[in-house]
Amino acid sequence: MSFGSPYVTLPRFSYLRPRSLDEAFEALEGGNAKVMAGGIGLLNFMKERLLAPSVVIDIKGIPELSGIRLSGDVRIGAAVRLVELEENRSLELIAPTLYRAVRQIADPIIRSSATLVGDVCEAIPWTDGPTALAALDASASVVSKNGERKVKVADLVQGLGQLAIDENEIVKEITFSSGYKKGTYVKFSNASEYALASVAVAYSPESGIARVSVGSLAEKPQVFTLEDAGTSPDEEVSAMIRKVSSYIESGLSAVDDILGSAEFKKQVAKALIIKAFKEVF
Amino acid sequence: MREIRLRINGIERELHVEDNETLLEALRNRAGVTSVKAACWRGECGLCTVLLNGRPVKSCSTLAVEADGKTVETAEGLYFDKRAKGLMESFVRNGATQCGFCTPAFVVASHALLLRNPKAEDEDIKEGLKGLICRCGTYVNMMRAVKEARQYYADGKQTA
Repeated sequence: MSFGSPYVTLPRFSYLRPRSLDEAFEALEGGNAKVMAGGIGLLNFMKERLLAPSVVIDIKGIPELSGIRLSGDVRIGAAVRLVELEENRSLELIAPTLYRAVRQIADPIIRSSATLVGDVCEAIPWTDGPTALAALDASASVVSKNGERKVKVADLVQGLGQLAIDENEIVKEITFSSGYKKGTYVKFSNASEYALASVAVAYSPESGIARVSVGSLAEKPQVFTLEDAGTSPDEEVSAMIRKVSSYIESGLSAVDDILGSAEFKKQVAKALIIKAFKEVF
Repeated sequence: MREIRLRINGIERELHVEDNETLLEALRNRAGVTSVKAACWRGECGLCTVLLNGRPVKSCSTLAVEADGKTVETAEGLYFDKRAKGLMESFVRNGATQCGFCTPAFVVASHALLLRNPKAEDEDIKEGLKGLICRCGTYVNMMRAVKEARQYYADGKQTA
């Protein structure tokens, strides 16, 4: 065992486990603190010495941050682990887009520790949570001792490692409308679990509106809306797929990165659109 | 240093740990539980998998202080569970170990998988164990071993 070496062991910090949000805000006041839920992402960044907070605030002991609510708008607290979402079969019926994305995040053992809010706050462009949540038009409640504000999840992640919240704020929960009763999430990844391209579709049969979110192409998920999507005969679905494919080609931005070239990732996204639309419509 | 109390393989333990110490380090270096292997240290290989309050977690990605007041089970303790012992013997019968380094973690994860789903089929087993890596590549034999061990879990009762 190599005690004290970077990459394997953690830099020194003080661990705090507040019992209330007020206690957590107080701990954040001291500066150079990081909020931890599942810890999967944070602890890795710390081992790599990309982050070295002097205080780590474990928020799993704060009662307001636990629990899933499915009546009315869906609400998922910041301390809810992915395994709790996965074991909630009602979520599969209410928000299949999110349910299917959750089942594809990392592996089942990581999902016993990791949280959905953590998957978002990691701010990595290739993760699954933000793409699915952007399709669902989800919002995050961001709290500090000055009060609470709502931010669209799609605006929360600004790019690699860039999260649009202040040092003294905590993401308390994620909420979204339970109207998107149909949907799916498909991704293509290489040896890592990170998606080279991913597509989330959230469809509301009542309004006929489908929201499509394409992840991993650029720094953040790109969302567009289809009106009157409807469950249509096959030839209409094919027409919809053609329309969306040409939009991906001309309307979406893509960047070359370690997972693939911009052009390759766009082609993969187009293939995923076909798979996703055939599942949903 | 801070004191934590936890139940490791059925035995109450008090450990003095640092805030920045992972559960993996505490188990190996302070509690002497060496079936929990340190390999990638970053949640990818899964060889440090233990049951924390009955759920499989990667102990390299869990802080020791987070285990305060909880139960930890590893391959050493599972040997005294009738079903898990059957699972281990099934691993041996099927040649599901080569160098043996990953075996304790695969046993722990397979045990958790079979408790949850005693009727696990190929796809369930692949999905359930996908967070673990065997560098000898004994996956085919392991698949056979886990399927054969389903018989020991058929009554569906939880571990003590």
